[in-house]
Amino acid sequence: MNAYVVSLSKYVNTGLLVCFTLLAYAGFAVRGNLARRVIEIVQRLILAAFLVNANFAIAWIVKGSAGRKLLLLCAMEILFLLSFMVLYRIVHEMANMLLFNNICMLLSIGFVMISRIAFYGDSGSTGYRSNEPIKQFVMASAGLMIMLIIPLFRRFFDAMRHLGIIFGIAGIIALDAVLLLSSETNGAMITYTLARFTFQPSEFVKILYILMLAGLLSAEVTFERGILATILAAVHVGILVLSTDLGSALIFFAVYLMMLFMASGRWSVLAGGAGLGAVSAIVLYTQFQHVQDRVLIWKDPFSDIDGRGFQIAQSLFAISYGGPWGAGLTQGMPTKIPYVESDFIFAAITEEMGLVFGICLLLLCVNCFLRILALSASYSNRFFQLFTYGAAVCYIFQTFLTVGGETKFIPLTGVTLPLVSYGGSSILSTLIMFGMIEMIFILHEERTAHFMERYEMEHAGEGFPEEESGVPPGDFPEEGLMHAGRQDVIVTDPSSHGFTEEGLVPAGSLGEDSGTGNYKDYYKGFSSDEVPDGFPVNGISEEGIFEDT
Amino acid sequence: MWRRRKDPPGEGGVRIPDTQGKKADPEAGGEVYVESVRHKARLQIVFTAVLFSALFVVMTVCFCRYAIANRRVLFDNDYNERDALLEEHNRRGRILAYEDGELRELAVSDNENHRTYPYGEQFCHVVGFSAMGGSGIDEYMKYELLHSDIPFESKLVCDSEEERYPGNDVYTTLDVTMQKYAYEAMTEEGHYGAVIVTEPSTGKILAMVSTPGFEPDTVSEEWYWDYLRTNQSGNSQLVNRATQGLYAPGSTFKIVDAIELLQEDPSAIYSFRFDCVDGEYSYDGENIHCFEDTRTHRYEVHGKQTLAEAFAHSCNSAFSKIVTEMLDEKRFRKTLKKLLFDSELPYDLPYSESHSQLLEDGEISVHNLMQVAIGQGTTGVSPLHMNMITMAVANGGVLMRPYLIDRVCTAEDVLLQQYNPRQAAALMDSDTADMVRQLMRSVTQVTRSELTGRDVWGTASEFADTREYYAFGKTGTAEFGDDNDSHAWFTGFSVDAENTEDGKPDLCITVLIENGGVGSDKAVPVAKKILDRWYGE
Repeated sequence: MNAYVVSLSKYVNTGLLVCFTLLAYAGFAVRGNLARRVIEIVQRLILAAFLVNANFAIAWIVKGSAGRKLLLLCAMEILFLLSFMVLYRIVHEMANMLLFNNICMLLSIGFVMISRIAFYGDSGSTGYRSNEPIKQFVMASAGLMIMLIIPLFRRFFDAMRHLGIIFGIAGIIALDAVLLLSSETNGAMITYTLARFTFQPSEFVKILYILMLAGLLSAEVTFERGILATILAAVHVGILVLSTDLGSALIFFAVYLMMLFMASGRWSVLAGGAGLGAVSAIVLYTQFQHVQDRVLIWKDPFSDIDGRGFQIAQSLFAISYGGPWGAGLTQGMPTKIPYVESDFIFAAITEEMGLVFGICLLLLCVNCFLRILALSASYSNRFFQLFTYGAAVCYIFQTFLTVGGETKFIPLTGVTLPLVSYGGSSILSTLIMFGMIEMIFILHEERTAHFMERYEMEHAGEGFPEEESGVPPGDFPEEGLMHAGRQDVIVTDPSSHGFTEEGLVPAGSLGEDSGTGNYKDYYKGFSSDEVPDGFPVNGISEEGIFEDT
Repeated sequence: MWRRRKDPPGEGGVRIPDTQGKKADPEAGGEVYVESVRHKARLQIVFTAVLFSALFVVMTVCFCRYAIANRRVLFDNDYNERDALLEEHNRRGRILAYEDGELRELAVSDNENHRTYPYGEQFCHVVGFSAMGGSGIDEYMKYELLHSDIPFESKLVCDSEEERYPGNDVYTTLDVTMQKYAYEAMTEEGHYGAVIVTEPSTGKILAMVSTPGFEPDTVSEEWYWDYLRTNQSGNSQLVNRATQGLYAPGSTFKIVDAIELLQEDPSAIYSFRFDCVDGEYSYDGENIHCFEDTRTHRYEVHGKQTLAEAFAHSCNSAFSKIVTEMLDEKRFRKTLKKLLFDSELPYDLPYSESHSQLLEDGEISVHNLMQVAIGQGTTGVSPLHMNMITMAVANGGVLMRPYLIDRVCTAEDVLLQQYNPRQAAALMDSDTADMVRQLMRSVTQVTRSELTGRDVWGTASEFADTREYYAFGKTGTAEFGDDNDSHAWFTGFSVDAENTEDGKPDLCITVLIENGGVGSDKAVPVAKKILDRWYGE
């Protein structure tokens, strides 16, 4: 019977995640709010089914009071996640729910694996072995609450644009504090303990760092600004290298490089930065013993299997053992990997749930990334755009580092898999970052809606030009790239009056002759205080428009 | 769905009045074109999306390929404890072999995974054991034996009967009859040593015996394991002499000399002449002598010989001359490498690499070169390697990879994997192989010399009056230590008498008897006994 339950459960798990992932990508393709709502709801059901199915299989093996405890925890998780999804939609009417669903699914996969590790030992010892699942659940709940609250403070976000240097200095001080007060974990000095809680500040400094870069680079990238950003970034990376937190140092460097590339729009920045990165990698390799060790172990983890290669070797054993469909929950030996629940959760997941499941998990991570990038592409406010872009790069690069390290694709750097790995700092900081991404999205939606409302008020009774342009209502042109979450609002040439009644859908290709001079009149009603900074008028920078109103 | 749509007007940017007078373009009527933020960023964002997506695709393909391709190696690693996990659920599969078309179990486990070996000592080295770290096929095929690929319904039946799932069965190429003959031929006389019988056209290993053996059923008991592991008997019972024992090849190395000579000068098969006057050969102040009769203490004197006669006599003087005077040292080294000396053998289970003194660094002295010629000195060859060289000669120069596993099936006899004969390498060209084959035929015959008119008694002329098969071979007597101790070798092959003499060989046999004395006295009878019984029945 055990075989029946475990095998069935592993195929069902894989099937559910495959469906979830397909729906996540289908979200890019479908148009119209109804289709999106349907996907959103089906995904919620899949998420609940996955949690029930996976936890039930573990509880079946664990049995007894521990099993009941696990099922209780599972019920709490489902209740919390589902009610939170509904709540989020209610509080923030304009939220990007497909991205939010992905976040909840990644959290759920983490919950399941952490529960499995905590409740079931290798040698068949079952029972409640550590309180990690509860801690993780509490941390995730707290993170989601913060995520819910963050958008309420959105009106302050614009001001942050001007605080770039302050964020930079704050980040440097926080990292410095670690360097001075740190306690050593796994050979890297990255945490400090404050009132019983162990922090990993680099996780939180990441957010400040992206804010700093976005703030500094959102205005025109002059040489001085570029140098300033470079110096501040270099200090961050330098401190991280000194505290031997190579993973974070790499992430910080990659974020800096990609953001500068994005802001300047120059390919030479990318090429030069990559060259600089290569040179400094070589310098680090020749100067630091532990860098050489890591490269050596990456080349052949089995040469030092008793020592530093042990972790990667065990990770490879685990990944290979599961095969495409996995060994089934509780049927593998993921706990043989040291620090499996924080640094090697991906190996544990592929061992017990299979390579196909692992691939879907990665596809889901990439889906999150593409979704955030698409948001970034749709913003016309440079600050919004840069922050969102930086967060996307930060997220995907960290995922790449941890999965690549576990699978011996790149040298191991020991960072967590965002949202999935165990660890309070990691989960909180990632959720805060996602919360800010949602906040920006809501801010953007709101302003667009506001703009259109205003526009309609001014142009009441002028009618809509659909008939003239020959484009049937509803068949509006969309952006070329891809569509994030909800029907994105495209504000076309403000001089044309082509907005539908809902104010959310532009009517599309409009007659070009519909009065190019009109918009000037339109803006007369605004004072510069009323028009928010970076007002999304199709990306025209405010300097060009508002100056003479 | 990704079709390219036309940009909405103004998407790329708009014209606005030039308020700052910076980029005034009189033709545009005082307006400037301002590119939109969105439009500017589009290329960078698409690039970023493609870059990271591609990175993830490459990474995923890489690690999936690695995990699937290396699943056996990773599973077999000593630091991977997942075999214990499988043993909890699965019953280790059986190791099987055929005897006259009927299936026999060489190793079988009961429901508590207690493993027994019905043939005991007969197969102890080649089949091995699973306890105490394991050895032989039982260890090498661990991955297959421990996995159970029976269908789900059958697993449910097992569950309902509270039985472990039966693991996959491994079918070996071993022939129980042949193994029995080989084992009995060795143990009847109490010989220590090894026998390998293979099929040269496919590489199938039909028998692999190493004596003295041990009781594989008892290995799991601590006292017996300690006894074996610490070698209290002094006989190294755990060592599979057939693959892991290295012995001086003695005169069997003349096969290698002959291969090199005929490769350098194919006409030597007719033109070579050597006069063995007093059973001794001197060159550059160094002496080598022919076989010393232990009773008369005289060296054998072979008189005038052709190459075939010198080979049949196993004339040390003649071959010392060939190696010291006739062969090109550089080419000889190359040939030795090609014949797999000091290199990996095409064999999957543990083995020892053979070594040739000629491949050692630095100049080789004349004395040592003479030792090389007659297979003495520091040259060491495993019976498996000697068998491989013989197989290549028998198979027209092409070595088929020797293998032990024929196929793997589920417990319900559904084929999972079939192992087919594979060509390992061409060790020599087919003309050379044919000529060496002629030389090896002369060893098992009594012929009349054209030069002297005397009878030439090959060192394995015991085979001369066999009628069931044509025998080919070479004997060897490898001295070791200070006394007159020596290992006895015979390596050769046979063609069924239903064929012609130059027909396809069907068996290739190598016999080594440790400290057995003279090859022709000890090893040849063992080989003959095995072949006689095989062809006789």
